[in-house]
Amino acid sequence: MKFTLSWLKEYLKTDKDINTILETLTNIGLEVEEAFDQYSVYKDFKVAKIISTKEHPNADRLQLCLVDIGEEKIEVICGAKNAREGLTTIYAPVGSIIPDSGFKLKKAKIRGIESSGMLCSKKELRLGEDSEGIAEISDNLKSGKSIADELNLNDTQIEIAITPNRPDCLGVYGIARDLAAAGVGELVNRDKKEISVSEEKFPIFLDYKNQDDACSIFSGRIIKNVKNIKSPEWLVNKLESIGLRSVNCLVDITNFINFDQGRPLHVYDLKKISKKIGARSSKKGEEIQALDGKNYKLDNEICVIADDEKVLGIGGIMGGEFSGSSMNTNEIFLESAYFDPVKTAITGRKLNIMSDSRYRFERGIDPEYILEGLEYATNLIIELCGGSAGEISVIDNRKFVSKKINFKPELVREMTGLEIENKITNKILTSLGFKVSKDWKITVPSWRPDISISEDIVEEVVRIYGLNNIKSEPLFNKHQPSKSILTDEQKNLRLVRRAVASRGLLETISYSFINEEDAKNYGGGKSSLKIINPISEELSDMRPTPLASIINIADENSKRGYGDLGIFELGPGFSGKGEDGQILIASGIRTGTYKLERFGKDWQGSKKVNVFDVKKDVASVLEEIGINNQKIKIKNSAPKFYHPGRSGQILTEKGDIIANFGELHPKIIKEKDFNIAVGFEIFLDCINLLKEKKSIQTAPEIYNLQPVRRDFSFVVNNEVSAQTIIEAAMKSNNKLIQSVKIFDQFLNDKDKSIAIEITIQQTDRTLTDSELEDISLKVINSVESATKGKLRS
Amino acid sequence: MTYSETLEKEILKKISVTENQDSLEEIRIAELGKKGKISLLMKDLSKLSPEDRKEQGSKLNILKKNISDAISLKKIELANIELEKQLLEEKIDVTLPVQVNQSKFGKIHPVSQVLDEISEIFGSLGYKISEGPDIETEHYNFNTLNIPDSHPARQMHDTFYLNNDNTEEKYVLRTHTSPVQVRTMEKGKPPFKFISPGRTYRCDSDQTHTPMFHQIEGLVVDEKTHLGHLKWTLETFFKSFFELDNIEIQLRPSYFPFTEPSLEVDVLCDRSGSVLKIGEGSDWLEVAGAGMVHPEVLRSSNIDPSKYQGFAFGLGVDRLAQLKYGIPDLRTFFNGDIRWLSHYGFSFLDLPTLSRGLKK
Repeated sequence: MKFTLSWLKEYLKTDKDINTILETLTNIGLEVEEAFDQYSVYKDFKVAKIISTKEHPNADRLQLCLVDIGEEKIEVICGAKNAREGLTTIYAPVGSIIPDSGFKLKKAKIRGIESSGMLCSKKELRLGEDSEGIAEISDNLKSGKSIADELNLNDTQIEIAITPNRPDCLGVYGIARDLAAAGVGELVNRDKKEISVSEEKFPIFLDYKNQDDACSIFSGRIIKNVKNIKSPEWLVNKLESIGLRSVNCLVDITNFINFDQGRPLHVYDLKKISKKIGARSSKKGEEIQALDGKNYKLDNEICVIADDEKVLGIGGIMGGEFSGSSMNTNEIFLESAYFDPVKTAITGRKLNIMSDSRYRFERGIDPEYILEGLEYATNLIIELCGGSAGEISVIDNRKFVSKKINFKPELVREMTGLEIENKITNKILTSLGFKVSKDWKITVPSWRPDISISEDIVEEVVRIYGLNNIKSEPLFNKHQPSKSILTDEQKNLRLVRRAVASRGLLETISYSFINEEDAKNYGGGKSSLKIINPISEELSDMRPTPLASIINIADENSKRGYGDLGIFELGPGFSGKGEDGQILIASGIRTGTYKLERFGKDWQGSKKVNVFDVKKDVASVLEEIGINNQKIKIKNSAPKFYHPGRSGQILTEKGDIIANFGELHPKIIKEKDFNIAVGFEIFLDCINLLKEKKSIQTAPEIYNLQPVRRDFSFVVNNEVSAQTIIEAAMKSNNKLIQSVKIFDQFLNDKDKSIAIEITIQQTDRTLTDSELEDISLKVINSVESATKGKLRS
Repeated sequence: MTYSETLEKEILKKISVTENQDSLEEIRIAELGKKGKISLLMKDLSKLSPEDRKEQGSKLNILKKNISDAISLKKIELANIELEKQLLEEKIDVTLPVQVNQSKFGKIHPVSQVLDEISEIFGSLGYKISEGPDIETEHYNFNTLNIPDSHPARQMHDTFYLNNDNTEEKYVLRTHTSPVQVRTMEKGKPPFKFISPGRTYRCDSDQTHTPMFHQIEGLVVDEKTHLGHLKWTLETFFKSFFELDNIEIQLRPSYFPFTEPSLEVDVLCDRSGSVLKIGEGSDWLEVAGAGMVHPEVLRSSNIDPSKYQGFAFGLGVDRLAQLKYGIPDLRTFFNGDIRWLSHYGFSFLDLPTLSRGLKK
């Protein structure tokens, strides 16, 4: 909401300086976004007269203007077509700051000739929208004088942010009322002038019958014999000061009242209205060309203003092109109505029209100012355009009743800790327009649709009294919690993050959405997980796994010249809506030679990453969070975006997936800028179920007897997995065999030979040779029968 | 000079000029071996008179010992020389570079680090951590937070909507972490004291907005908690977070549908230099939105607003990370440039705790 200090002062009698006013605005919740102090901005700019012009010797479109700036005559280069002898314009000296661009003017040579300062357009000076040519100002002004003095530029333009609950401050009067309540000055009442009216009444109708229908109050009157003119200078200046363009006097008056009182009105050319005017619901197929020049096709739910044959405007949002006023208009119908906030908002969104009146109606305008606003506009129209007004017609289905709230003044202290005397509370509320009875029954003013409960009243009191008067009061822990603040899941998440980073991977955080093709490639792409209004097509689908995001991130880094890297993300993947559809996944990727020992070119040689690098990442993380090796198994299978032969899955005994790991599918590697890439995904929700509750620790088992080690070598079919051999060997004597290690592998065409080392831990006595022989035999039998292989002879 | 003296001199000279073990051994055999000169002289002693034999014998014994010692010494000397030589041959160029264990390249993203810091502070104040889904129903994201369908505040949120798949319920990407308030409260009983961090989404993208960002919601509901407690809590938090004693905050009235009264929180800062400084100067910087929980929100959570009250606040996590660690551009947070991640990331060993301070 924009306004000027002088405009504000029409309604606020104050001797406070501008800084106090600005500070108070922010302190009472009307946050100042910009204050543009004209005097300090314009004082350096001078009135200048062009004495003569000649062509720039080195440029066709430039002129050298000899300019009188009072104390001297200087040469200024100018590119404007309207720069001509005798023109009075505005000169910006070297060192001044051009308001529109914020650019500080320096001495400069233009095509070989020095120009000191420049002649400015109104747009550059933020004195209007006109950017065609340099400003043309009155010849009566004296050269060399500051334009701040000569053009009376000593106002301050203020822009404040109005929160959606404060429609009452969408007019300057409402802002003045708030400031007066905060003690900045005295509210100057709106003057009411009596006007004499004829008895002539125009027929109106209202098809809606209920008070919460799209339109619940419709009123208006005709004014005949008006002369639509160009608006007087004060009105043009006022509108321009808040960035509005003057159209014609009738339109300007309604726009002015919109910002002055927050009351939207509309003027119709009476000659374009057939027989009657009123509000009704649109019929499917109806169309209207609105004042923004666009044609809108209507369905059967839009509130329109219509006569007996056609649609004239969209209720509360925008008038129609056809029925609007023009310079030839001499008879008008002036409308003032109440449009429902909810229904106006829905229509506005549906038709995608933003306007100053929609902005006000959807926030809720004062239903008690409808007729007063109509009178105010009538007065101004007659004053500026002449004419005679008819009687007001009105249909009121709303029958506004003021809200009443039973208030307990103690509530202010209970909610804020502030001790405010009741009489001060009372004074604040009264000055805001509330009526307070002796027993604290509070009547809410009609312009405050946002106030309906006691807590709202507390807010009114403290925002005016000053939120900064609230004193800090400690809020200590009454009971020190006996358990950890973090849940097991939260602890796991933190541990996994740091465990993965300790593998040399950089943590990234990327958007949870990716493009449709990627979503499909990585196991997602369901239509229910598509965003209806994505920010771009690249970010249209909720990702099934963060791996999809970080593959792209690795690719981008690779294209920047960093092809050996390791990154990870711990974030959500989505398989459906709601809580069950979101899972937490730690995904990582290694590319090129990014191994834990070393990477890149190195004199000791460097190797490309392979599936075992990521298997090790996963295993290390699982180890770190204490997942028991015996409770997991590994399968040679993984989702389709991994290399089918070089990837694996870690599963719980029940078959739930704990992690995927492997070389990425060759298609992905080829498509991206990777030499080679391996990746993994660890599913934290699954880990959380698996992690054992820590019981009381027992002492470690330490034996004095030496462990005995035995080596075996088996020849088995290539399809037999290493895990099968390890499990078989382990199973043959679970008690004494402590570990099974594979220490060699030799691949032939169809079979392979695998060498294992068994560690046997003797516990209470030394095993005899024959006992050891027996263990060995059992190992051989067990492995041979599990693998259908043979001990190598 | 006696013969043995002359002989000793002669042999010692031979030993001293010897350059390797082999010729030293030759000398030993030639002098001390069975058929060596000294051995032969010893044998000849038998031919002498007893007196002479005694005298010559002791001289020869001395000679034999001296030569033997000299050879031993020389042997060590030669062995040392040979070792030196061997070591010289074994020399390698130790200026060849090595790569430091790659684990040090692993870093924690500043947002994660800051989330850990924030949890640490609120944890110490007794706040639990509560979480909710990113894909949220309109019911939790708006309705239960007193933002009905037509409310103009819905437009302020620039909401991402998800495709509707035959369900009545409309789903959105949560525009704030506030829905976790009701989700958590409806599952429990007051008093409540928790924070909820997480990803949030808005359909907005420019220099200071990314379509995804992080928020932390805080909520305390009991019978007595009021705005004075909120002010203390936020002051305490900012002091601890920025590790500054001179934090000054200002409360400004504002509007959020789910709090009443609503306010925004600014911290004092200095914008005059090239780097923004917190706790100094005369400018204000908006850092949080807050207020007393709206009675409608309590009612949505099946809590009686005539009995219970409390405050809620929301903080922008990415922005706090920017302020604390001087990171200029928000967009760089989420594009995964490894140069940025290495520069602003934190060591995985750098776990923030209050006792060691939150900054390293």
